[in-house]
Order: sequence, then structure tokens, then C-alpha cells
Amino acid sequence: MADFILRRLLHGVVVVFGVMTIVFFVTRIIGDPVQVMLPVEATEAQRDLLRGQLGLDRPILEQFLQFAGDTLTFNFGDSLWQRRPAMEIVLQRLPMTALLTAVGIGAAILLSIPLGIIAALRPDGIVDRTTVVASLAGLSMPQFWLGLLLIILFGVKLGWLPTSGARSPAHIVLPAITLALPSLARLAMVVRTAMIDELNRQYIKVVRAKGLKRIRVVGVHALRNASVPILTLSGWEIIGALAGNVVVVESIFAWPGLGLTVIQSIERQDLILLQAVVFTVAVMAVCINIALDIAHRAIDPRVSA
Amino acid sequence: MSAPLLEIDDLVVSFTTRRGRIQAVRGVTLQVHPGETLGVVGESGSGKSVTMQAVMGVVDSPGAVESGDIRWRGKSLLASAVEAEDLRGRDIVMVFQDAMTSLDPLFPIGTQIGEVLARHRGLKGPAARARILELLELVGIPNAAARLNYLPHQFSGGMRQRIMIAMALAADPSLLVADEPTTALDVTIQAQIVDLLIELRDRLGLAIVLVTHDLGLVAELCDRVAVMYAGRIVEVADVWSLFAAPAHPYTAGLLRATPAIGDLPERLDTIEGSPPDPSDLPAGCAFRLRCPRADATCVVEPPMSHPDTGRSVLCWHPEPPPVTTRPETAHV
Repeated sequence: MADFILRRLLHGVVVVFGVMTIVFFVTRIIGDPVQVMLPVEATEAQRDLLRGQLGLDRPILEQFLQFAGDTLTFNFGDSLWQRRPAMEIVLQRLPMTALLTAVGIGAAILLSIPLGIIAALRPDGIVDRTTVVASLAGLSMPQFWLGLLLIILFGVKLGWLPTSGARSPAHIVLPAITLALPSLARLAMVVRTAMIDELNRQYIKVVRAKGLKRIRVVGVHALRNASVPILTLSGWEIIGALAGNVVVVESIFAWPGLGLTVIQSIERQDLILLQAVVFTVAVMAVCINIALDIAHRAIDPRVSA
Repeated sequence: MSAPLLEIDDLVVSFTTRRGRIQAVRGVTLQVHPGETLGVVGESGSGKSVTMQAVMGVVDSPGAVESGDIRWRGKSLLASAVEAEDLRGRDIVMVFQDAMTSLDPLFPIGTQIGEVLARHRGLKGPAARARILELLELVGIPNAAARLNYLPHQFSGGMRQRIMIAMALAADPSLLVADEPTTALDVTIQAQIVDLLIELRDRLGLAIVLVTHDLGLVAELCDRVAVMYAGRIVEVADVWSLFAAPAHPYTAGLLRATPAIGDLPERLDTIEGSPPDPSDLPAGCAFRLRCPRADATCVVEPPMSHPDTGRSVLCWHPEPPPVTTRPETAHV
């Protein structure tokens, strides 16, 4: 097991480094931070001076080697925008994103399992049909639109919930719902399909013929067998939220997390900060994948290295 | 004869599909007595497996018991789902056809047998472990103690069927339903499983219902045979009478289609035609379109003859008993 984790960690290091390489070159292509950082009326001499200070005037390969070395030593440099260590900003914002993802995707996972199971127990029943239709609707709604609808309904018309910022526990409700709904829809569909598959298998007939209680047949035998695809998708939903969906949701609700930081750093051409954010998200994605593999092996003992 | 363990009374099982309701079992009446071995034979789709799945309460969705009753020692299994659940896995148990897929792949075999003991006998811990080992040794799993924590995929098909039988026997049942228990196995393994069933029946006094299309297996194991065709029992007889003098033309056809060793014909006899579509059964006797003895009478459903004598047949024109050849009396 330790051997397996070590191999996956090494693999993860390669993945993170690959991601960082891509980010480095892409950000150097899309724009010139000096243009944004200085006022329009700045002279070319002033611009060159700043470029020299930031090291942007050196050959790109030299910049890359410098960057690779810095990344390997976790030294990301100072944010161009805030003039303080980029990692400090990231670590300050990270807990808010982690909280939003945990609440939103956590709720989606916890709700999807009973919903999918109930739907699977009576295929074509009322709960099943409702779940399928609602899931399709949930999948078809873009998050930026869903978020705005929720703001109009619960923020503006009803005035029940705050729509911007993170000053009280109530502030998390709307962003969490917006983040959760599409994930809930996908997860409920997968739980339903996986459970229907398992409930139709021969071993389920056998455990039923053993006289076992229904809750044990469904909740222990069928659910454990169905849980590999459920687990895999849950992991993907967490990664998908961290690596993309939070950007949309945090922008809509002004939630002060990493997603908002990404938007801000792109607007200000803050390459250093952007690199630090991407690095952090890539590391989290790798860690979640390793956790998934470990959980997969715990569920299905047939899987071996 | 002692009171029957299991009585199936005019059982109808139907599947509701988009094309309408299809009856897979159309009024089956059958008794199983303590200690006897009853064979239920018929082609695929004759309703033999579905009948037994109804007894175990595991008919595939969207199938359901439409009417009739199933009684265990006089008590209806259909009346109370909770009571039936307590009986299943304890007094009535089933061994299925496909041993390869019958065990949950994620749980060690010891755990899966232990579930039955915990559910029906309240046994846990060391007492359960001892009983599991005893069961595995009973069915001939070598080195059982070391293999309690093995997963199903670590066993061969024959071994898995032995484990299935051990699991079925865990709570000391009175009736074992074996649904084609050897079909999915190699021939040599088949013989071992049959020997095991015979040994267990004799040792434990089990009643067995053997669902099969293998007439050889029936001849070897069974006391009594019920022949099913298109959802009905067409003939019930003790095994000697059935093989010696089949009364229903379908039974006679089945027996003619089965070669005897040492007497291999050039060509095997077959029953002309194919089984009827259950959603479009002919009126009257379902076998009449394939039956060499059918005539205009057969358009009307035949009654079950002599249902009380232990030998009964569902046919207007049963085969005559074979004429025993006697030396002719000389007429001068």
C-alpha cells in the first residue's frame, strides 16, 4: 500500500509539473502584464524598467528555467498586483473555496445517494421519473444563469438570502446551491444507473433468497458494488468544482475564494498569482485522485497494484 | 403420506410488459413432501424456474404473482412478506444455476455464509465461524479455515457451487430448491455436485426440488417428476412410471429425444416445431400444434386427469400404456 501511494505521488509530481509548464507558456503568450500595471501615459522607458525589474525582458527559456526551479522549491514569488507573496494570498483565499466546495459538493453527494437509490428501487416509478426529468433540467442549466435566477428569486423577489460576499453563514446558501445542482443531477443519475445495474444482478437474487432484510440487500450488497462509479464521479465533481465551477459561482456571488482570485489575477495580468493558484489546484486534484484510488481499493479488494 | 412441506396452489405468475400481460406460469399446482426429491422438467421458458423463483420471492421485475397461493406447512407465503422472509434462507433455500455470478464479488465467502447464520440463527463470532467451517467441510471445500476470507473470484465454478450449497444449508433447511445446479459446470464437476446433493439429501433428510431439463439427472436423483410446458404442469408421476410409460405426448417426445447410452440412433428424435410464444398461446392445449395425437377436441383446454392418484396428465389423448408382450394364447 505504501509502495502504491509513493508511486502515485511521484506520478502526481509529474502531472503538476506538466500543468505548470503549460500554464507558464500560455500566460506568456496571452498578454503583457506591464501594459496593465502601468497607466496608459507611461513612457516606453518606464515600461522597460518595470520589465527588467520583473525579469520579463530575459529570454523565455531562461525565464522558464528560473520558473521551474522556483516551482520545485515552492517559491512562487510576489504577486505583481498585491506586491506580497503569491502563495500567501492563495492560502488566505483557499479556505473559503474549500468551504464552498465542501458544503456544495458534499450536499450534492449526500443527497444524490438516497435519491438515486429510491429512483432505482422502482424504475419508472414517480420518484424515478421525477429524478430523471429534474436531473436533465439540472444538467441543461448553465451555472451562471442558474445563479442569477436564484439571486432574482431568493435575493430580490423574496429577500430571504444574501447574494453577495461571505459575512454570515447565510451567505453560503445560494453559492452552494448553484455549485451543487449540476453535480447533484449528474450524481443522482449515476447512482440510479449503477444501482439499477447491481439490483438486477444474480447475486442480489441470491442474497434476497437468503432472507436478508431489504435494507441489507440494498444498502450493503448493492450499494457497495455500485459505489465504485459513484465514488469516481464524486471525486470528479470535487475536482471539477475546484478547477472551474468555483470561478463562475464565486464571481456571481462575490465569494472571496480562489475562483475570484483567478478572475482578478487574469484581469490584472498577474502571472505570478495565477501560477500559484493553478499550482495549488493541480496539487489538490492530484491528492483527490490518490484518495479516490485508495478508497477504490478499500471498496473492491479485487483491485491490486 | 405425511403433510406436504410446500404446496403450490393454482399459481399464476405474469410479467407486465409494454405489449401487455404475459403469463409465464399459468395455474401450477404442486406439492413437495418431506424428504422427497421432486424433479421439475421442461424446456427453457416453460415456467419451471419462474415457479420456483415465486416460491423464493425473487421473481425478476416486472414479474409478479397474479393469483394462487404458495403455502409452507399450511401457511401462506404470499399473505405475509415478513413471515415469508423469515422462512426463506432458513427453511426453504435455493441454489441457483450460475454459481459464477451467484456470490457477491466484494465479500469474503465466510462473511456471506455468516450472514445467513446471523439472520436466521443469531449466530455470530466464534460460534458462527465454527459452523461456517463445519459447513464448508460438509460440502468438501479443502483447507476451509484458511479460505474463509477468500473472495468468490478466488474459487473455481465447481467450488463456488459447493459454497452456494454450504450457504444454503447454513440454517438447517427442510427444502432445497436447486435450479439447474449443474448446467454451468464442466461435466466432471457436474457429477461431483450431483453426488454431493445425493449425499446431503440422504444425510440430512432434505427434500429437494430439482429444476432441470436434464432427464438423466432426473432419473438419477428424483422420486417424482413434474413436467412443465408453456406455464402449466402437463404430467406428474413417480419417476419409474414416467420413464416407463409417459402419458403426455410432450413427455413421450422428450424421452424419445433423449438418447440412451449403448443405443445411439443415427438421428435423434426431435419434437417438431418450437415452444409457443407466451404472449400468443394457442387456444386449448398449448402443445396441440406440435402434438402428433392432437385433433379437434384439443382446441378445448383439457382437464388434469386423476389429480389425486399421484399420477396425473393434462391431455385429452394420453399415450396408451405400452403393451407388454405376452405369448399369444393359441386359438385353434
